[in-house]
Amino acid sequence: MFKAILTRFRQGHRTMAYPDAPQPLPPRFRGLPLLDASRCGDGCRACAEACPYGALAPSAPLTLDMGKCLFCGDCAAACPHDAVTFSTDARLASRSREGLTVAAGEKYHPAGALEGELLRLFGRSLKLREVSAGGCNACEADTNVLSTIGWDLGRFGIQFVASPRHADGLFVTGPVTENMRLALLDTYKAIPEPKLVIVAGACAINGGPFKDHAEVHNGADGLLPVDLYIPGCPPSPLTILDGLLRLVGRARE
Amino acid sequence: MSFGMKTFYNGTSFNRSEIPKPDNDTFFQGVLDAITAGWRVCSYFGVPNAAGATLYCVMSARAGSGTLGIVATSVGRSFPSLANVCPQLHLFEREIAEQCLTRPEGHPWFKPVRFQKPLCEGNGFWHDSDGGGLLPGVMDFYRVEGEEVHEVAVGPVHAGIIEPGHFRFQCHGEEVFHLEISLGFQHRGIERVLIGGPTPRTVHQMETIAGDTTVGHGQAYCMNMESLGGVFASPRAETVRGIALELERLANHTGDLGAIAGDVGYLPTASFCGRIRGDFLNMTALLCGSRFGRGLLRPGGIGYDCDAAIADELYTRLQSAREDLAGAVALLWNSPSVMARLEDVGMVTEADAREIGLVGPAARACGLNRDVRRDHPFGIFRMSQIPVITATTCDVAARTMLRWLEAERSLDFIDEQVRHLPRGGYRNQPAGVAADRCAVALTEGWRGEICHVALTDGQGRFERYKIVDPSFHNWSGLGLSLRNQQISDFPLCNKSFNLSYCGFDL
Amino acid sequence: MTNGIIHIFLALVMPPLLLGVIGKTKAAFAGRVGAPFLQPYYDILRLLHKGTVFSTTTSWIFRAGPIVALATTAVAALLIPFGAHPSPISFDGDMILYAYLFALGRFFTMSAALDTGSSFEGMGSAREATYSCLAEPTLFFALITLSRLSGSYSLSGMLVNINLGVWMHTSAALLLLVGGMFIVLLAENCRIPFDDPTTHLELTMIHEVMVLDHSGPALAIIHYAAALKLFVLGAFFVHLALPYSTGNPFLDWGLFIISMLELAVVIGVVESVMARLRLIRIPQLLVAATILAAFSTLLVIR
Repeated sequence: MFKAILTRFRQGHRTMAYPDAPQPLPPRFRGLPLLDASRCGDGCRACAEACPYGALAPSAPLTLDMGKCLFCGDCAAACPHDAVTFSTDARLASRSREGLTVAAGEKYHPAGALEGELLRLFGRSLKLREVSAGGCNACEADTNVLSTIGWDLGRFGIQFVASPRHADGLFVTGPVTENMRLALLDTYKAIPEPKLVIVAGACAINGGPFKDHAEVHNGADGLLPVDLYIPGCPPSPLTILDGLLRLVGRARE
Repeated sequence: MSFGMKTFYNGTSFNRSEIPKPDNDTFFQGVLDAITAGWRVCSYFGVPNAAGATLYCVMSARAGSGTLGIVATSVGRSFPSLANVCPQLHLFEREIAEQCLTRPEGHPWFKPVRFQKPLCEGNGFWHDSDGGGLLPGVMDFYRVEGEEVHEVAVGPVHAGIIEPGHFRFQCHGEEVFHLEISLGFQHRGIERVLIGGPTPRTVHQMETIAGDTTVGHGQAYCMNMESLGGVFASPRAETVRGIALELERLANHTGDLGAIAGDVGYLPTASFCGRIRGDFLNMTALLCGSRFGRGLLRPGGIGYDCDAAIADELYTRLQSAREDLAGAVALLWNSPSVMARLEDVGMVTEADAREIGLVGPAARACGLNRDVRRDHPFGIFRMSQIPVITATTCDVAARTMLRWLEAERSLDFIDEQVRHLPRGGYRNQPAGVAADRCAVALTEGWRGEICHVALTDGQGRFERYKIVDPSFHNWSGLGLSLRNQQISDFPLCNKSFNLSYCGFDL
Repeated sequence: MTNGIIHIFLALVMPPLLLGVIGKTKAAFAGRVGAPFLQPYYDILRLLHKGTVFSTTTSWIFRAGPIVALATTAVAALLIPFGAHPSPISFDGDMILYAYLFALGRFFTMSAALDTGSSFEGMGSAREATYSCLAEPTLFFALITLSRLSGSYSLSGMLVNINLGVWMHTSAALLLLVGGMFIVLLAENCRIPFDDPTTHLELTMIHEVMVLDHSGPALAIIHYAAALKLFVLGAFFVHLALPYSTGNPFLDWGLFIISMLELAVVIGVVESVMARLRLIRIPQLLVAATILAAFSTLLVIR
C-alpha cells in the first residue's frame, strides 16, 4: 500500500489542461488541411491523382473531404507547389457530412453544440456505447485512451458504458462490415430515446481504406442518423475529445 | 533435411517455378514428416482455380538454421485433412475450405472461419443455394451435454471498447469445460481485394490489417515489395523501422500490463500504464506524425527521416518512460492481492502450445523458445540481436512477467540504436513488381510471428497475397487456457493473450 | 421533529455524494482530475428524463425490481439512527426488519435479473445469492453483540448507546465487530475487493451484471437505491467505528456528515490500493468476517 502511494507521488498528477489550455501535438502530426488555391498550377491535378480515395477535388475552389481522407500526406508530397499542407490543428469534428469538406480560402468551422433540450440533458452527463464494426483497433485504441488519466474523459461526465440500455449514444468505429451490420443496428435499437450517433474514423464515416469493398457498407452514415463526425485514420485522441466536448458545449473556441 | 521443400531465407523472393509441386501423397506426407521433425507451419493456404485449388505450405525449421521452406500441390474439390494429427493446421484447413471451395476430408471441426464468400466463383459450403443463409456466429458449436451444464454465449458486441467476436462457454456452475470462439465479424475482404494488386490503396490496407500492429504488418509488406522490386532499404531506414517496431511492442506491452492490472481491479498500475502507453505512442508520432506509425514504413525505406533533433528527443523521452514504467510495473509484483489473481490461472502446457503452434509472447510464456527476430532475422535484427525471453509457468503471471521483460529488452535496443543511427538516405524507389515470383516475409510483431506470402502472375500482379496474423495461430491457445478455469477469469486470460480480431478476420 | 426532518432530508439528498467522494478519492490516487463530486446527481437527473427500453421477454417482475429495491432501502433508512440522533421510526425488534428489508430488496433485484433470461444476469444472481447468504450471519452476530451491550432490541437503542465509554470498556469486541462489518459493508455494496463497480467485463460482475438490462428512470432508481444502501449501511458502520457525540444536536449532525464523508474516503483508498479477489476466494473472506463477528459475540456474552 505504501509503495503504491509512493509510486503515485513519483508519477505525479497527469491530467492535461485541455480544453482550458491548448494541447501540444508532435510537429509531424497531420491535422486540419490547409489549401491554398492561389499556388495551384493551371490544370494541375497532382494532388487529386495522388489520393486513391478521391478526397481532393481540384476544381475551383480546391476542396478536400476529410471524411474520405486518411491523413496519409501523399497529396501534400505530390503537390509541386505546396498548395496542400497539413497543419497541427486537431479540431476537426463536424456535425454534418458536408461540413467535413475543407475548401480553399474558407475558414473551417468545427462542430457546434447540441441544441436545446438535448444539450440540457447531456451537457453534464453523457454515456456512450462503443461498437467496433470492422475497425482495425486503432480508432478503438485511441478512444480507449480517453479514459486514461492523461485525458480523463470522466471529468466532463462523459463515459463509455457496458450496456446499450445504460447509454445515451452509439459511438461507431469501423467501415461497418456486412458481418457486423445486424449487431450494430440491434445495439442502436437497444439504446433508450433520446439517443445520439457518433462516428469516429475514416472507416466509420466513409469506408476508409476499405471503401467500396463488397464486404463493407462504407461506414455507418446512411445506416444510422449521425450526429457527429470525427475524421482521421485514426482520429487523434485530441480530435475525439474535442469533438465530444464541442457536442456537449464544453469546448472553448 | 528439407522434406521435399524449396528452402530459402526470410525476406527473399524466387521464381515460382522453383516451388516443388509433388503429387498429393508426397506433399501431405512431407508436411507431416516436417512437423514431426520439429518444423512449424507459418502459412498454409490455397489459390483457387477452376478444378479446385493449389495448396501452398510455408514452414519454418527448428530454431538455429534460419531456414524456411515452401512446397505446393494441386488438389481437386477435396483434400485429406491433417488436423487430427497436426492440430496447428486445423484453422488453416477450415480457411482453405472457406476460401477455395475444396473440402478437407475428415476434418474434425468442419465449420466456417470468417463467414465469408469464397475467393472464387460459387457459393461456400455453408451457404444456401442462393448464396445467402450464412450468418456470422451461427454454426454448430461444440456442446457439452448434461443436466447441470449450461451454456454462456457472449458477443459479438462486448461490454468494453473492444472488437467484436462471439464466445461460447460450456460451463458447470462457475467452471468452464470448454470455450469455442467464433470470429469473422470484422471481415473486410482484404485478401480478396489484394488479388490483382498492388494498388495505391494497398499500403494503407496493410497498415490497417491490425491497427495496433501497423509497423509489424507494414514491415512484412515492405520486405515483400522490396524483394519483388529488387531494391534494398538503406541501413538508416532499417534502423528506424526497427525502432518503430520496438516502440510498437513497448506501447502494446505497456498497455497490456495496464489492462491486466485493470482487469483484476488494481487501480495504480492500470492508471499509470495507460498513460505510459500513450508516451510510447507519442514517440512513434514524433517519428511520423501518427501514433500508430501510419505512413512511416514505405516500400524502399521510410516515409519520414529521423533527424538528430528527433533522435535526441526520443532518447530523452525514453529515459523518463523507462523510469515510470519500471515503477508502475514493480507495484504488480509487490501486491499479493494482484499476484494471487495471476498465478496458476489460464495455463497452457508447453506440449499443448507446441501442438497448436502458438507464436509470440504467448508461446514464450509456455517455454517455447521462438522469436522471428532471432530465428529468421530481418532488417536491423540481422545486425543487432535482442535476447529472447522465455518463462516456464505457462500462466497469466508468466505472460504478464514476460511482457515486462520484453519491454525492458526493447528499451535497451532502442536506447542503443537511437544513439547510433547510420548515416545515408532513407528511401529508395522500388522498380515495380517482378513477374512470376514468390516472396515470403516473416516479422515478429508484438503479438508474434507475422507471415506475408506474395505470389505474382505473369504481369507482376498479385495472384494471391496471403496474410497470417499471429492471432490466427493463437486464438486456439486462448480457448485451451480456459479449460477448467473460472468463467470470471476469462477477461483476465483474454487480456493476457490480447489477440487481434481484425488481424484474424482480415 | 426537526431531527426527523433533517434525517429524511439527509437520506434523500446525501447518498449520491458518497459515490462522488469515492470517485474523487480514486481519481486523486490515480493522478487524474476525475468526475465532479456531483456527477452521480447529474447521472440520475439525466436518466430520469430518458426513455425506457424493455426486452420483449420480461414481465412485471423486471419492472418491479428497482421499485422494491428502492422502497425497502428507504424504509431501512428510516429505521437506522444517523449519528447521535435516534431514528424517526424505532421499535423493539426493528433490527430484524432492518436485516430482512435488504434481503427482500435483493430478492427482487435477483428475480428481475433472472426475468431477462440472459445467462450473464443469471450468473450475477447466482453469485449475489451465494455471497449474501454468507454475509448475513455477520450482520446478525453484530446485532446480537450490540443488543447485549446495550440491553436494547431496537437499532436506535443499540447504536446510539455506543460511545467512547463503551469502547473503553469492550474495545476488543468492538474492534472485531468493526473489522467484520467493514468487510460486509464492502461486500454488500459491491465494492473492491468483492466486486468492481467500474468494470466493463460482464463475466466478472456481480451486482452490475444484474442491472445491465434496466434503462432510463428505472436505472436512475437503481443507482439511487444503491447509493442509499451504501449510506444506510455506512451509517450503521460509522456508529461502530466513529462513535463521537458532543451533545449539541447541530454539531452532532455536522459530525455525522463528516464521519460519512470520511468513510467514503476510506472506501476510495481501499479501492485504490487493492486488487479484486478471485470470485472463488470471496466466500473465504466473508466467512472470516463472520468469525470476527462471532468472536465479538462470544466476548460480550462470556
